[in-house]
Amino acid sequence: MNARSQTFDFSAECHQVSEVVSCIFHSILFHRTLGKFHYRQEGKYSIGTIGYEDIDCDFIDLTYVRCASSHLANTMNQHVQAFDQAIRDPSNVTENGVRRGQISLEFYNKKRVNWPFAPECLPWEVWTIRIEVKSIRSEIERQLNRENLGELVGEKVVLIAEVMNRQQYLPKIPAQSEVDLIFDTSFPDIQPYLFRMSYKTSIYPSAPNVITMSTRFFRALAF
Amino acid sequence: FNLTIDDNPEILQETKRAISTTSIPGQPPLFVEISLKTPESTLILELWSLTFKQELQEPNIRILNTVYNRMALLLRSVISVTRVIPAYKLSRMKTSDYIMCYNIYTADQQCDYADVLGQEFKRVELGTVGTPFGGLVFELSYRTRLEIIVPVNNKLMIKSDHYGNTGAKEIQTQPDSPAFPRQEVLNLDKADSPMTQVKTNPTNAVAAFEPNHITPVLPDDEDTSIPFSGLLKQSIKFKKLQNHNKGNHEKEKAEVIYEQQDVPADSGTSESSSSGGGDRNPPADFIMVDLKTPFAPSPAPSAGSGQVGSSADIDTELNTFEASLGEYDDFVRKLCGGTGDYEGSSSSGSMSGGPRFP
Repeated sequence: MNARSQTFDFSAECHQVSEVVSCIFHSILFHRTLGKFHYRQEGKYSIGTIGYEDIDCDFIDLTYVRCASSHLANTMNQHVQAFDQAIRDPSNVTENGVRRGQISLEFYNKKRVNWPFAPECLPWEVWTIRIEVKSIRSEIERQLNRENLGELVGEKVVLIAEVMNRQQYLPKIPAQSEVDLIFDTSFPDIQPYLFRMSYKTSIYPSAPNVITMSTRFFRALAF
Repeated sequence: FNLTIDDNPEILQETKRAISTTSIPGQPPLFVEISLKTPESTLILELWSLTFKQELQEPNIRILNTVYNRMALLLRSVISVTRVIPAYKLSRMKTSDYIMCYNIYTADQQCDYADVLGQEFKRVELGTVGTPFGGLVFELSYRTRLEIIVPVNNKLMIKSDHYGNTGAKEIQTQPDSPAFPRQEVLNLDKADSPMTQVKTNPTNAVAAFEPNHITPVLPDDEDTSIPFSGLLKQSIKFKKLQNHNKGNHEKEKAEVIYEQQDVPADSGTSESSSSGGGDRNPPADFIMVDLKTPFAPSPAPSAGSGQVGSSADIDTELNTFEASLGEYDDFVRKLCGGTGDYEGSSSSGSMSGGPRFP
């Protein structure tokens, strides 16, 4: 099975990077998170409820919604801050003096393989944000950038909603014995689909995104 | 739908009222309208529509799992999108200038979205949930430019201090008219907007310690006709400065001349006087130097009056002095011959150079 992917490009100031990434990824995870499963006899199960909360951004004119889970917020914050630090690294400068970086949120399934090999990870959806850092000296221009970037990120949230609601592949609800192959059950209050985050800059080329040749076909279908 | 949402009984009741009791396939589209209302106008900001399309049915779909899961996903999308569209910011502002309203209704007619939401509206199909009976299509159309449009009769919205302290102007709305920039509308909605406050023009304020725009113009020290003229500050002329500020139409221009009390008799005045606005001579600095000779009697006015005597009084005084001339001469002879204290040359010199009494 090939992973579908979506890439967003933003140009932002250093201090706006964290909020842009958090807004996009939390909006995605809000769609990809269910309540905790409670399995019953005969394969029946019930799904718990999740709460949501509004987050007002400080550096862009935008409010976004995320799951009301402090554990998820901390997990996201750790990854975003690591990416932010990598971008700010003084040696992360291209030949043109530009700072760039990209961070990905990948949803995957696990597939058990025979011992002693580790379960295989099969991504089925990848969201990538590419950031180019810009510097602004004028306060007026900074205010305009704040508003424009807020509008742009808001448009991407609308696009995320459109993409999420297309009739496309989603992992089936598994049996209790296989729930850990589809969902992340480590959170006490929520149950998102299995996901992982990775980033890369010019000096920190972490694991590349899993993008196969067939994603071009999916992109053509999707957009 | 596995989401913690506080239900609003009023909204639930309105929704049930809007949806008729006929079966779902026969339902006209359901609209949720979000609008902004001021005392003078109503501006529709968002139109959410739920349409049932029978041609999108999926006969084999499982209702309990698939349909409900897709509905839950669609609900999350709606919640996410409501925060990022322009009207949300207006709804967060706590102000008494406007209120946000909703209306739930069904309508069979096609809506002219451009007419209702402005030419630059955006339309988004958030999602479709297929059911065995048909597909539920959820769409959003929203206004992107939040502007209050004025009518053709040119009642413009201007800031309260545009012409000075004139107060707020009238606001009217009418579609298909030139629109104001978005920022002014957002400023209008804030409680401290210039439209709701009348601010005084600070340009009329007087600087501290400055008496009524009067500034002293000190003598010019470089005037060589009078040596050390800068030290002579016995007469200083003040003049009112014309206010050159914009919007301040104060055109009063006057010269106020303050003079010292020890002024020679022929000046005509012995006390300070001011002319407010009467002197129209060009403003030229000058100094009146009052040379006060030693032992010269002060031109003390007559008792209590302080006024200069008339010519008749002067003649009387002269006649008195002439009548007493002989006595003055005898007095001088006694001084010169009797005492022997005076030397002939000096005394004669002094006497000859001294003042001659009339």
